[in-house]
Amino acid sequence: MGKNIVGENWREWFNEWGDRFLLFARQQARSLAEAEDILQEAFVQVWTKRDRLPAIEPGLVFQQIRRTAINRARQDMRRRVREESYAVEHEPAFCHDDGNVLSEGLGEALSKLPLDQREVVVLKIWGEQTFESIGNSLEISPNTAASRYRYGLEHLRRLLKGEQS
Amino acid sequence: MSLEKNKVFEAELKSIRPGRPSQQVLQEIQRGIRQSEERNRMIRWKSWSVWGGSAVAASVLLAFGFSLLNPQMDPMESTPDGDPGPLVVNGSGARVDESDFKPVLAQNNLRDRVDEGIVFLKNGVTARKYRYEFVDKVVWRNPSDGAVIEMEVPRDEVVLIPVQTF
Repeated sequence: MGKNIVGENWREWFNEWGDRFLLFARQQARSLAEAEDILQEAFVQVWTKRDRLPAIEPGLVFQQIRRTAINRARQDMRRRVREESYAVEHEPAFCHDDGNVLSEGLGEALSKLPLDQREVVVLKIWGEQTFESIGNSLEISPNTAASRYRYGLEHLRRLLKGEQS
Repeated sequence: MSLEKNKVFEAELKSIRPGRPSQQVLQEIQRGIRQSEERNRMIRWKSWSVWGGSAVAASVLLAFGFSLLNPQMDPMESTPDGDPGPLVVNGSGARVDESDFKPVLAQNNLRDRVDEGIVFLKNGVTARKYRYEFVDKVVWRNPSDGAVIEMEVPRDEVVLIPVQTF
């Protein structure tokens, strides 16, 4: 999954992975605007370290997104201005153009999961990460990641089932 | 939830694509990368300036120091470590290397033998002490021009010969 990214190749790679990075960033943020800021900051940080890395893995970006979200200064004026403009729109976390009935309530159901389960579910399902890689990103053991995933998936299924019925 | 149901549910979830980041994010990333690269270029340039400047200053100081210590070195004058410089043959201007000379003579010449009398050694032995005075002579010759270098080194050798006492 590792890729040597040179020159402008980051755009191609970002087009492939950007939606999943953003989804993970949304789990760490209070709004889409904040998630986008976190994603942008984390991606640039990983990109600028590319000389010291043999390859840029999606796992590195997931890890950096989490660190950025934790370290991010809360009094960022730019973010607050953007949050205000986004507040009225409420952008959905998933695409609804594929006719999947699950997609409509998925964003909301996901947001009801505890953060530790939500992170693992997003990284496993959409981030296509192994439990070992998830463990590295979240600084937990692979077994803990697997356990959280099982609970999270079951929790999510019940939430979606309840919404549909 | 059974394993089979689990897999079906996972597959359903995977089929739903997350929303894409806005164009603004792409622009911000582009801007961030550009700024970061400019910053790195500046850091590299500053680092080069500091180290390059220091290296030039050090070279100038070293050159100045050498010129003060060695105003004008005569080719025949010994170098600071005492090693004579290469020989210059008068008139021809040709430099002569040490390796051009071949040893043609090596002698140990006994000049004198001095009897210094009876001595009593620490181990109780009585001996007669002779001092032999040598002059060692070595001659090198340069076959190309016939130049000769002679060296004579005086040397003493003390010999003790045990003597029978009654």
